[in-house]
Amino acid sequence: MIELALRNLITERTRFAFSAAGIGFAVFLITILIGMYQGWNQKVGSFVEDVNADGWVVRQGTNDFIAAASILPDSMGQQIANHPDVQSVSPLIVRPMQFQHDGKNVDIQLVGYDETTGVGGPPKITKGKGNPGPGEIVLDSTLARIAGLGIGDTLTSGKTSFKVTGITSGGNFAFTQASFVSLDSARSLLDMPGFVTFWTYSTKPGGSQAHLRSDLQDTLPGVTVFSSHEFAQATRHRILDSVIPIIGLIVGLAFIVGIAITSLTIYTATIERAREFGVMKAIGFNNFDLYRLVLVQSMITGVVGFVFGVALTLAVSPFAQRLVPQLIVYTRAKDVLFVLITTVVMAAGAAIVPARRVGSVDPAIAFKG
Amino acid sequence: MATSDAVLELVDVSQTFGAKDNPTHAMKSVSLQIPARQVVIIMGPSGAGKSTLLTIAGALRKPTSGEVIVAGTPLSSLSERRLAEVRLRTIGFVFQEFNLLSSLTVLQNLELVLRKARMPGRSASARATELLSILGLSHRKDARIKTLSGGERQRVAIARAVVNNPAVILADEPTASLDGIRGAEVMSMLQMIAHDMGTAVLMVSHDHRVLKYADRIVWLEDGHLEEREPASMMSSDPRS
Repeated sequence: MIELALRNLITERTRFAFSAAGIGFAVFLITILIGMYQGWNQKVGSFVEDVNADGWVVRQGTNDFIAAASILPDSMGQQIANHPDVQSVSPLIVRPMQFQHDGKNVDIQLVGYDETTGVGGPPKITKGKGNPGPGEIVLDSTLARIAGLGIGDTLTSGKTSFKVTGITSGGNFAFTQASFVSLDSARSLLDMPGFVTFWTYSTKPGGSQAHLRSDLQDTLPGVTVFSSHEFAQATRHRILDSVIPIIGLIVGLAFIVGIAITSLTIYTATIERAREFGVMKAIGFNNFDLYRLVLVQSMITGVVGFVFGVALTLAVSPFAQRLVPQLIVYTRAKDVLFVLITTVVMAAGAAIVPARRVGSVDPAIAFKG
Repeated sequence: MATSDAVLELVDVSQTFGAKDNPTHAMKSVSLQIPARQVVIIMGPSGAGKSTLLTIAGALRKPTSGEVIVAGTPLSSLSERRLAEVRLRTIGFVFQEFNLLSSLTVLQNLELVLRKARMPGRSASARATELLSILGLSHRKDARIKTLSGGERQRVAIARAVVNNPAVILADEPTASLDGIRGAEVMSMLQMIAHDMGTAVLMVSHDHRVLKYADRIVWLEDGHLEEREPASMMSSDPRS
């Protein structure tokens, strides 16, 4: 039956190609959307997770790194440091801002960090120097590509100018990119004397992170204390929760389009081969055999479409990412497996209507001249 | 003719089409017994119900009333699945338009039927090759159907019909699409299958040239069957 299905498909190469391409493009769309989601999911939270801290202290009501709607007094740093389980404390000033370069606006997630601890600073310098001095800024490499900025360029905000002295990777949040200045520069730029956005802390070796977090939560007024992982997750939710329904909708549409194209082409082939199906019934094949034949043809089409779609995803993704730096496609093996299962469901779904049509073919059709 | 000798038997078979208040009686209490080794040709005017008789005899349609018995198996109470099994194992079909599966080769057309009958791949291949050799088609076994001539296609169709050693072959106008020479080849083949292999052949035809191959001729008209002498039919226009 598999051989007959294969030969039927090969006999009608053009139709088979259209059908497989239909599934292939649906698979491509589904795979790339899931890959984009996974890429964003990874990038959006990874900076927060990679900051060398066990916990984040934020103003109550602030839930993420991106909005950064938190203001905490400098004095709170000492209060945190006074806990016997705290090893070190570092402040961060974070604000989404708009700078100008050559008359164009450049959106930046500005991060002012303490250069003495380095906590929350540039994750991995790829060009220039790491620690920005007064009037200096280190840009995320994706932002540098998007905005066409390089070492030596100048960014301005009001009357303050920053010279780009370094490029770092690891600051890409997909929808915005971090750039790094010294804590004093950030304070001066934002006119925030005596205040920071977040306090981060690390736990002494042997200290209980849960216990420390609970103590800080109880003793510090008007704050929420997050573990690094929780804060990263909250930041992911902030960005991705608004994207998930859109991705889900497009994945659903791609799924329906895949089923529709495959179903239509297989159905058309079924109608055209109605006589052959009638002959098969006449010479002893039953409806179940013919359902199987249609299903196998659909499955073969699905698998070929799947291979084509995944190959297309892997081939196109690097070019797309080069073209659109914000696009991050992370294709995981388990997501490909999920898409394979989806394809099998898609192919099985596409076979339902044609199989019903085959079931209704009158074998006496074979006697008609 | 003794009923017990028949490999195909129609007992009081009636077939009615159309609305209850205005029915068309294609067959009225038709009875027919076909024993092994006989070539029986059904003739009659167009629209007399000859093809309907074949579809009923071939377990493709259940009659309005009556019973069809194929190789000792009464068909009226069988499920669709069992009927398909009866068709596979005891009936061979030869159609006017050949109806071979175009995506397969000659050999694969035969193997498909054998594999459906659960014959292992190697045995199926050997059986199909042997039969093609007997029927003079071994040189075309790997050919695609579309490359065959009409005569070759019909011979392959006959090979497919007999490959499972059926009790009866039902042939619907097997020479209608062929010229005289090819038609004669096909009829010789069917006669050989009946007389040498022991398979009964029930055939519908309008072609009076085939009558000389018949052991019996039955005439179907107005829903009734009537036995006719081959000699008398050959001396007259069968359509008259």
